Amino acid sequence: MFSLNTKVLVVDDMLTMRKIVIKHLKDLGFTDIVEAVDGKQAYSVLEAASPPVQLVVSDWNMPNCTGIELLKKVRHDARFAKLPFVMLTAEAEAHQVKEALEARVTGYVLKPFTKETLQQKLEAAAKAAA
Amino acid sequence: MNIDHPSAQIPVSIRTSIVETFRVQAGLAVSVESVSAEVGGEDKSIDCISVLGLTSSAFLGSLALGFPAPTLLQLLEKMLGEKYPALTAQNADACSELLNIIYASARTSMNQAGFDFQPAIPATVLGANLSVALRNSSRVLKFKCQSEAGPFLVALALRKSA
Repeated sequence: MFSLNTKVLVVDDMLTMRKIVIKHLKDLGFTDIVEAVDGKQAYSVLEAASPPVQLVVSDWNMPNCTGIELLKKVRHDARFAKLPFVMLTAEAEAHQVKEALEARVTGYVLKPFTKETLQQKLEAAAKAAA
Repeated sequence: MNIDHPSAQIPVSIRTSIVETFRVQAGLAVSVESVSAEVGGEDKSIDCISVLGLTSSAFLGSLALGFPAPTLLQLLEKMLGEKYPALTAQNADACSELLNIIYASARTSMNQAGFDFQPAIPATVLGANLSVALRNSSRVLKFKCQSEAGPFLVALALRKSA
């Protein structure tokens, strides 16, 4: 599992969903959580964060820059190429999962989800990123 | 928005997705008390409604999720663990998010059954005693739902693509 001091970036254009994810993360013990409303803002947060963001939990469908676009951008930037990136999305069609895997997503959480599911997926992502 | 011989798979997928979305995301047991095809009609006491357009090669239509304010406020409290005194443009996005999850989940199973429904983005309207205006003679399939947070409504309108 990720250390509870891990700096987590939560990206979702929906305020309610950001609040749900942040609540679950806090319930799991995470304390250092930052947020962004789309991929564009998320990338700015990644570039500016000090200490650096160590885990991204991102929605897929967002205006300006989608989650998959953010993932691809991150993987093409040497600074963030190995940053654990968990996609949290309602999109479950095979071609979308394939696209995320090809873009080297670390984990994939399907909405709707529980706190327990998020925990399991983060544990798996931590192992995959190790 | 007429229902012209819709495949039974479509309402079944949507009904299943409604129950599963609320059970998992909000920890809420939901019963679909009735599913009825209605002509026109008004939905008194709906204060927040999200709607998205359905597009596929076989059908066009729309899917809507509507809540009375007390139901959505209780739902927000259940999901977020904090009380909200009133619906606002910010917290009403929960309606949009829930519809998005319901549709995405239903779309996966419908498309596995051979349809090709496309992704869609919900729009949300916040007001008081909202109703969906339909064309004359149009019919809509209404899923009247009950939960411990209160009643709410899902409406499905479909017609064959030209």
